[in-house]
Amino acid sequence: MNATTSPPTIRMRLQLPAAQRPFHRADLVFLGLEHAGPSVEVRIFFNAPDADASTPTTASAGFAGFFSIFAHGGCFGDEGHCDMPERRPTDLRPAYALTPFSKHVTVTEAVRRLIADGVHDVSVTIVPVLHSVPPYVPEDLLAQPVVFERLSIVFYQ
Amino acid sequence: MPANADRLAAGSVALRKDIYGLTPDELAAYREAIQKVMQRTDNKGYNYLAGIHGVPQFLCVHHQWDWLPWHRAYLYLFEQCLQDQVPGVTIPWWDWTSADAHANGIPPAFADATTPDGQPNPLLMAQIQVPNPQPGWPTATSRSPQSPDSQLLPTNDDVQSCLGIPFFDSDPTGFSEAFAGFHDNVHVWVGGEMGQVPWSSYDPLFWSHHCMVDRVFYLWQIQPSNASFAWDPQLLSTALGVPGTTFTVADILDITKLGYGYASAEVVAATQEG
Repeated sequence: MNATTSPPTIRMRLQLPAAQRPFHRADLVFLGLEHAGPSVEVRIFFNAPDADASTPTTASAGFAGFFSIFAHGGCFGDEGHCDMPERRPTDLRPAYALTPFSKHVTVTEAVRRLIADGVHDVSVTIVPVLHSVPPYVPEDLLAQPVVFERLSIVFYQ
Repeated sequence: MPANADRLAAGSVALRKDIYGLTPDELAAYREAIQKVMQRTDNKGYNYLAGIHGVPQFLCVHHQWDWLPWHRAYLYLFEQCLQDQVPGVTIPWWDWTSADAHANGIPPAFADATTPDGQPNPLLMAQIQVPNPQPGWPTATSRSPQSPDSQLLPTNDDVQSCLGIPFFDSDPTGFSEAFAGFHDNVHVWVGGEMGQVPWSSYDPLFWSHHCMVDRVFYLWQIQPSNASFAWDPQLLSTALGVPGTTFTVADILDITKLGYGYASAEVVAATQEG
């Protein structure tokens, strides 16, 4: 078992609806997640802005959920191999391997606790945790292992 | 696995089994097949086959709806190459939800340095040989597993939550995407080359991890609520593009047509006396 390291956290804010209708599930939705960098465990905390890799993954510590990004850890082809140029209309090959993806993280219980406490202004702290990164993963990718376009919360009734 | 060879010769399917439940002879046969494939340098050899998924061919499919069908076809190709070497041998699955995995981590079959007869264990690690390797690239696989009680290692409840999802495809809340997350967690939990997409398939543990993944896909398929699942015809006709095969998604849905099944236990009848 190897040491873990924790790059800088990402802090965002989410507003929960003041009058939330009943729901059976709530998901945090990351759109446009990149996976060219190192593989990483991503822990999510609500209203725990100082959370880091050592923060317990418990409800009392604000832990809401986690996911992993099984990623590429760098480019291992010739120069330009991992570039994603605009596709020509006649380029009918499968999607680029590094095409960003979306990720749903179910956080139902954590959201229920917030609503029960009357909390609607939520700080979301995203803690990347790197486990035993191999030496060939470029250092510049380690500083920001979690990159995405948009974060939202979706309720299911 | 002589029993599997007999089954295949009789027109039946070979059984894939739990790594924890293999007999010493079955484990020895699997190791022999892996060893022989590792000794080959052609397109039936380990480095070629591993290189389909990662460096240098980079053909694996992840974070897309067809990742499960693609990996089923990929394991089929790998298993056929194993059976070229040792008739009837099949890939065993590693049940990372099991009590054993959550207590002890990676099974001794993969973690032991040597086999019972004192030879290097071919399931421990593999040499990596790729064209035009750059300084610093891995030349052999290694692992850095996290603690067995890590939240990264999925539980049976996690798998059951996926099996209950009544639709498959591209919606991120479908079975395919929901289960992909647990698959990702295991790669990250094992660490080392298994934790990096371009190198993961070089680790001998990769095949048993993905055998478990394929088994869960199969279990999802045979859930009573999913047995009549209506696949989108456009998805069914999608070519998977695994070299050495011509499979579409439709071709890989029935695993008996691919010559294998999943068994939790097998009791062979004894010959009746008298």
